[in-house]
Amino acid sequence: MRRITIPGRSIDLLRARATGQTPSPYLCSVCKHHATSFSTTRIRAARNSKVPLTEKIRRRIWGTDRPPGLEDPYGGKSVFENTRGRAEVEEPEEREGRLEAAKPTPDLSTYEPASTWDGLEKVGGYEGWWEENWDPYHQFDGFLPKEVVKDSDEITAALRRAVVEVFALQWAGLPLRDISAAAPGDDLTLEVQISPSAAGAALEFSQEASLEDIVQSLTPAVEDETTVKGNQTESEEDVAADRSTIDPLHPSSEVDETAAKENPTESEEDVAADRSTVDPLSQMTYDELVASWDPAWLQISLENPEVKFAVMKRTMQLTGLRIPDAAIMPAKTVKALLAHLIKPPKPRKLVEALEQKEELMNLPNVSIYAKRITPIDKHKRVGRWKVIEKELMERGLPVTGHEKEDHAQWR
Amino acid sequence: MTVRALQKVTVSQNGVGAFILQCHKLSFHYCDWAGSSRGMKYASFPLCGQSIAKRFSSFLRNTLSKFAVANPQIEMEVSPRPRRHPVIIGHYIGGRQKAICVRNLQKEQILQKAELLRDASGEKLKRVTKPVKSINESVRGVWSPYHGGGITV
Amino acid sequence: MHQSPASRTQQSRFQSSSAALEEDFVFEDDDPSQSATLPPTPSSYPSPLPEAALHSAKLAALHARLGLPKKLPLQTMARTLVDPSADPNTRFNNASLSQLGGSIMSLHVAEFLLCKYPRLPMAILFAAAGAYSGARTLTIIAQEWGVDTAAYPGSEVDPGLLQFSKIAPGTTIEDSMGLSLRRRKRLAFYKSSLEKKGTSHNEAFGDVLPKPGKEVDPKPTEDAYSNFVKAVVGGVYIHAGRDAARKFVREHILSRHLDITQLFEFKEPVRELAVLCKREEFEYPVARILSETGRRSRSPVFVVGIYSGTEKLGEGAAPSLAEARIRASVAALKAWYLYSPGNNVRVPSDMEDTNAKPWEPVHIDIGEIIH
Repeated sequence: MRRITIPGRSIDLLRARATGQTPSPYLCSVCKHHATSFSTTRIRAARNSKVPLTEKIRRRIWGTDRPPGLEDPYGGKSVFENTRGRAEVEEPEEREGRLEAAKPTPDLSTYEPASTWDGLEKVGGYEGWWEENWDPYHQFDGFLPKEVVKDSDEITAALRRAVVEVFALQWAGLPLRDISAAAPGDDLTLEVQISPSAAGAALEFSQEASLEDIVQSLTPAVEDETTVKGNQTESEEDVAADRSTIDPLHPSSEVDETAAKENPTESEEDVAADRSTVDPLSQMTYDELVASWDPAWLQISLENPEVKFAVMKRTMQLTGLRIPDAAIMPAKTVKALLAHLIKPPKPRKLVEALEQKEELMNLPNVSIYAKRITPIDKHKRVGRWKVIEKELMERGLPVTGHEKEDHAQWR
Repeated sequence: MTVRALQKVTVSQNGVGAFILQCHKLSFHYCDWAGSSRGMKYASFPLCGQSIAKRFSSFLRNTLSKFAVANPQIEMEVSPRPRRHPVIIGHYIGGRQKAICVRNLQKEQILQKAELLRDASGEKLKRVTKPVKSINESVRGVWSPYHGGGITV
Repeated sequence: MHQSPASRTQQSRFQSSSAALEEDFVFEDDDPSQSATLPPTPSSYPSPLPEAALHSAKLAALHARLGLPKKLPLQTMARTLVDPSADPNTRFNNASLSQLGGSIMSLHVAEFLLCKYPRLPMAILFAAAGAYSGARTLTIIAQEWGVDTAAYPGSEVDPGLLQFSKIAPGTTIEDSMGLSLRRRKRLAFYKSSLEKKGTSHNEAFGDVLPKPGKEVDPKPTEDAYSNFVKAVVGGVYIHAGRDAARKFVREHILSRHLDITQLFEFKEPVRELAVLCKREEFEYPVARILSETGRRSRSPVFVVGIYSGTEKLGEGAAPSLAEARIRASVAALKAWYLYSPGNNVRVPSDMEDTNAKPWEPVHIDIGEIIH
């Protein structure tokens, strides 16, 4: 709110100074208080205009009461200044007026002072805040899973699953934006064959995993939808339960349990075969699984932005990995996307970086050592060390000079 | 036996026939952490050491493979030397060594130093006053005052 | 040598040399002093495994430095560096390669010298051949190639180092050959008689070879180095063919500089020249003063020419007349002995080229002067 410059401002300032804003040696403190209490809004305005010297200079320079820029050019406003500023925006008169209006006229006839705090209204405090924010039932559950997948084979499997599911949705004619509608459940896509085609990708479904099954797994359950609105905690529990059972990484624990239960003499394969519910594919480790796939699926095109977005979204949901725009934009095929996802971590040592360089490691005239070449290494290289070692041991001398038993000897 | 033989050995004329590069080994030493043990203890020690190591590692990562391919007759040895400045040491066929400290150098400058070591003969630097030295006999022969008829006064 | 290099790398040391390992143990029992210098570690072999050759930067750099053909694998290159004194197993040492390479090298050196200087006396020819491909020269060559020696041979040693058992300090060469006193005396007599005869059918350069047999003896560094260079030539011959071997010998051995005129040492040059002139049916050589100065001074100079009839055979300058005549005779003899058809004379091995021109017979001298 822009203030109009009041002509009598300088007088106000004078008056403010005279009434004791500037301490005068000739006024006692009582008189000073009397003088201030006498003031009305004009005085208040004048007091309000008590500004630091820098601010005054700034105003003088800019020629306005509200000079642009920071009040203190050498630092940002603190939080307190912000709140104070917000309060100052309201005109003091208005605030006063409002306070006057809001103040109810107390009916003091029935007033009895309370002797205990029972029944009194509580004001302030953190009531309910902890429950809202830290209650285990109300935990924030993000889109990305908390545990980020790190194993490269597992990431590859997740990406393939995402690709298969996206194309399954596309085949079924469902909108691709629903790809992440359902929380990820059991992986049904392991037996689905996928290969690049002109229309994107060709899918071959098996008996265990038909198109309907996959699409069914991708659409959220109906009763869930009803309950989601009403009781959020229940659905969260379902999701949590789902997540605990998805894990095909640990099928062995299940097998062990059954083996222990049924017949310990039976071989584990028989047990696994007996259990019809256990998918034989899930017995495979991820690297075997990835190796069993035809690498042609990596050539599937991601040119269609809708497909690319859906694949990316589902992959992020499955793995918890964030994919930056810089990696999304240039990825034309699944292979390019995978190359970003399973990028090895940045090496901490130079040797690790050099070991990744094939052209350098394959050069016959280059030898790279991970550790310092010690004098002992040099002796070993020319074959002298075995002789030195033998002579030292014959004389009962320490070979390298810092062995534990030697220290014990000298103590 | 009227003629007897003296035992001699042939003298190398490097470059006539075969040429043997005199630098037979270059060892590149670097430090992963810094120029001092402080860099190892406090991982963020960005001022001097890290930058030295980074520059040298940039040479080793990017330039060394091309340099090694271009000079297959030189044995390249890369090894860390913790808490020391990066250095290139040339080993020469006479048994001598030359070392150049490459701290604070960019990778192009390091390449220049490596090429300097490669092209050196390994001998001490000395002032060359006569540009041509030859073990071959002079074609003209030594001037003789007794030949050529002399000068009539 | 019939095995391909790849198959040699494939086979493990155990499979190939079980007999040799037995030999090792026998040898250690025989010679306890020898086994004492090498601590017995059963897992280690006397020389590096062939696979180690592929990981040695030193060896690869040496291969490139010598400009060896790509056909010569690094494993063979590593084998040329293993002396029989380091590894007695002939499957892994360079004995066979150096034998072959030595023959090839001496062939090329001999044909080069014989065709370029057809009139060289036998002793000078041997000395020149020794200067080109003798042990001392080959040692220098190997050192100029940048080949270092290992301190002690063993399987952990870098395959790019020359490996052999060195002679212990304080051992004389004769001792090191392990001969009895009587045998040494006989050998010395044999050697001196050969020197008197002026020829030796035992070795290329007129030296006496020790009796063949104990190859596991420690050797001086010179022998190990020369065996290595010969073995490289042999390896090149086997893997890359005779043209490559000839090229290698020419580039590395025959390209070196040798002033043959400095090999001669005449006992009686004036007399020898007279005999030569008689044999060649020239007129009797006569010495004539060409010019002189300061005959009565402290430092006179006489320039004397040797004439056969009207032809001047040689000339020499000296502070005395007799010395000047001797120098003139030496110059005349050297001019005769060092006749050369030219630097680009063809040698018999040039005929091995495809599209070689028909052979033109080279000059063959009737031989040196014996009187």
